[in-house]
Amino acid sequence: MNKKRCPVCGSEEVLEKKETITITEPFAGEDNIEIIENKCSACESRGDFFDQNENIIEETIKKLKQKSVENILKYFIDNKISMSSIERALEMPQRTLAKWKNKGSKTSSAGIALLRFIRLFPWLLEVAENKYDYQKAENIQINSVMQKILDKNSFPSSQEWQGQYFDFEVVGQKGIIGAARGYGIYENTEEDLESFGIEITEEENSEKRSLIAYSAV
Amino acid sequence: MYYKKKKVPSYKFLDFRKDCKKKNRNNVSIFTEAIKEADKYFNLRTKNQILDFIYNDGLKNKSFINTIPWKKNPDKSIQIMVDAYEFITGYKKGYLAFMYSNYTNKWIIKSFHLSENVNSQMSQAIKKSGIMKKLNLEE
Repeated sequence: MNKKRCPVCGSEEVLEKKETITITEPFAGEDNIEIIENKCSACESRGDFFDQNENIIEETIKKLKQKSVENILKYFIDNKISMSSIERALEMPQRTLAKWKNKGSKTSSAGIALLRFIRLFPWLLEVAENKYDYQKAENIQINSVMQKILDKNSFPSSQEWQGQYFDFEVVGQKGIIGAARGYGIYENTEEDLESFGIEITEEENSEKRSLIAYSAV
Repeated sequence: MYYKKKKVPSYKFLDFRKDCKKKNRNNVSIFTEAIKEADKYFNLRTKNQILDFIYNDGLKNKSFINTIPWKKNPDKSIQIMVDAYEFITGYKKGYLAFMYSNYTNKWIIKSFHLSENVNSQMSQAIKKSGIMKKLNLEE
């Protein structure tokens, strides 16, 4: 019977240690698995000397990748983007995504990468719908960026800016700064939100944000 | 010094590459740290992925750096040299170090990480400016 030897120095003093590692996959979360690490007492080399971990790691990655496919497709369905419309936009055979979701057929690595891109940047679907026309793609991208900037989550509301001056430069978009100047810079006091001394509500503020967006576009 | 730094590799890279082939993979081991860093910097998570990458000529513009004796060799009478190479993959410059053990007749991948020589002056200046921290890009 072959004795376990260190692959580097050949010593038989190889220790085995169990270790928990975390494997993560985008849009699938993470999974903890227990692996074995060998350590040579003679030369202090550490590693999976006998390839004991390869299978469990590969299986876990595979499982998480499938989970990410399911999560991404669920996200689209929850957001009222049908699988058939995605398939149509991307010129994929109909029912492909359903098969991926229901494990009817194995999702290829390229398929997983594609799903991740459209999950991250759903406007890529619109680019595909427009037959990958460069000019249109650029416009779609810019519109997406503008929407993101004006999104309440990233564009501070009056409540978030209580007691502070509204500084458009925070956004880092010179075009918006210029446009914003045309509509007046907001000044936020501790009492209420003012624009050149006129009290404005959050609704009005929101409207102004939209106007700024339009003029910037 | 007992050993002198050599200007030519101690091993033929092609011999190493040949053992990265699927059927010869039992002849290659990878240190834990090398696997972790290959995952961290290059998205190569398993031994198979790393060896596939090497075997399929993933190391572009490979250039030999040096060959030095393995410092942790318990028996200095049997020399184990470590060959180090730099390579390019995509937008990254990587560093690979491997050795061949005469004790076991196996290849060992010692290191697989980003090259530290990449624009070191520029990267130091960037570090000093703290811009990475400001942009929330620091690891």
